[in-house]
Amino acid sequence: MSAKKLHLTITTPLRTVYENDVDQLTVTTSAGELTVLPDHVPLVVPLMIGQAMVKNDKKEIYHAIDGGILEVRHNNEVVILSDRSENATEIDIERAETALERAKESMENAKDNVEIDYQVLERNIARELNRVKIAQKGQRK
Amino acid sequence: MAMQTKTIKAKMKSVQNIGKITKAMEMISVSKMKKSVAKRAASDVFAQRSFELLENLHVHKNLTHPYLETRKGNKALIVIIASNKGLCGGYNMNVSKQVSTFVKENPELTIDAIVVGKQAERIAHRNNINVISSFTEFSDYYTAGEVRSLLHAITDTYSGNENYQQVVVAYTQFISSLSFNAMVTPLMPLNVEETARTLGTESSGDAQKFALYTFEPNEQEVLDKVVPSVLMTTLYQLLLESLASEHSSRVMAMRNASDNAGEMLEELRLNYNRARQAAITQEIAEIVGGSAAMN
Repeated sequence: MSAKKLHLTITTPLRTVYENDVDQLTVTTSAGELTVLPDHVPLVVPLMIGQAMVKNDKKEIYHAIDGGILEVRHNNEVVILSDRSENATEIDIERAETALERAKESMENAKDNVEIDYQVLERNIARELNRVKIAQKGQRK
Repeated sequence: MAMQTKTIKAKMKSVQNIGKITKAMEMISVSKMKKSVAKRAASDVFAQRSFELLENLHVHKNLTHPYLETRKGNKALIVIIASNKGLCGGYNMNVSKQVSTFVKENPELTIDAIVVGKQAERIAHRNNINVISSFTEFSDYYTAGEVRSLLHAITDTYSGNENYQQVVVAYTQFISSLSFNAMVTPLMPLNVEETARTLGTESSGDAQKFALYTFEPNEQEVLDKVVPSVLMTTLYQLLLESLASEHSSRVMAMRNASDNAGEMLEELRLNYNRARQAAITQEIAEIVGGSAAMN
């Protein structure tokens, strides 16, 4: 086994969600998917709503990421600063699905209303859809 | 005489019950305070990292953001953080004093307020400050969504009107479980040194540290993301510090109340014994008097 590992921390303004030594990390950035392996060049990049897939000893762990910033430091330290993040196993699928339904409904209701900020609604839908998808991935394991 | 012992007994009972309640409230507040302090500590990693990024981009790379620039204007927005419930000693009063001082010291500014907590609403009214929005339904330890909605209310107001020169927060700084300090601290425009002090983060001071970094797609876009994050953690930490102060203030108030209840109970017990003794003495005197009269 290669000795080198990434020290990954996923943190939100409220708490640190995940901290561990991992083999690799895949995230969704504004420019597409990005995989970070040990000895990656120092990098700072904004993240989109999406997943963070962590691979450790052949096991895959998924996290839902609600946008944020990825920071890779030169000493193999990786930090994800996210507004909100959850481990796939922590997401309650049923509740996530109802939240998604609710988000879609408010979009439907907003159709005749000009005042409403569509971007916010769309973001809500994207966020909940992401959570549902990742929760399902977590359950398959 | 029998009447008097009875009333004293009833009084003792009620004092005892009050003592039990205040004791329970004290213990609940101790655990709530500990939880608030722990929650605040849990957000330190995020605060430190996002602050470092901000410092690097703003100070060392000279990039800027609308929230970082000083403004001219004749309005100020004050965010008042106080409690929903009372019974917490001088906690709300101290916040109120700070607000009054701020109002007095800035007579040239028109001040609007966003308040967190029912008591904060009252503080604003007492100082004749116009309340723009009021958050009184927050849950016990503030969820991310709640903090975000508060932050949005603040930034929307700030960016919606050029006349807002600054945003300040009246909160209670938590130093230890015995000492806390109500104060008014600036939030926007974001000032690197002030933020470092509020967050308790250390400035890395090392411009070289980030020199090798690649920023994608560019540095400005990263900064645009970092600024709201820093504001969010700052706000969250201010809220939690106030919460911790509120609870520890309540612990102290309740401890005093319990102590007073104890003292009062002692006094009442003494009075009760005296009244009982007096009743017995009188009864004996009556019997003796009665038998003497028979003879």
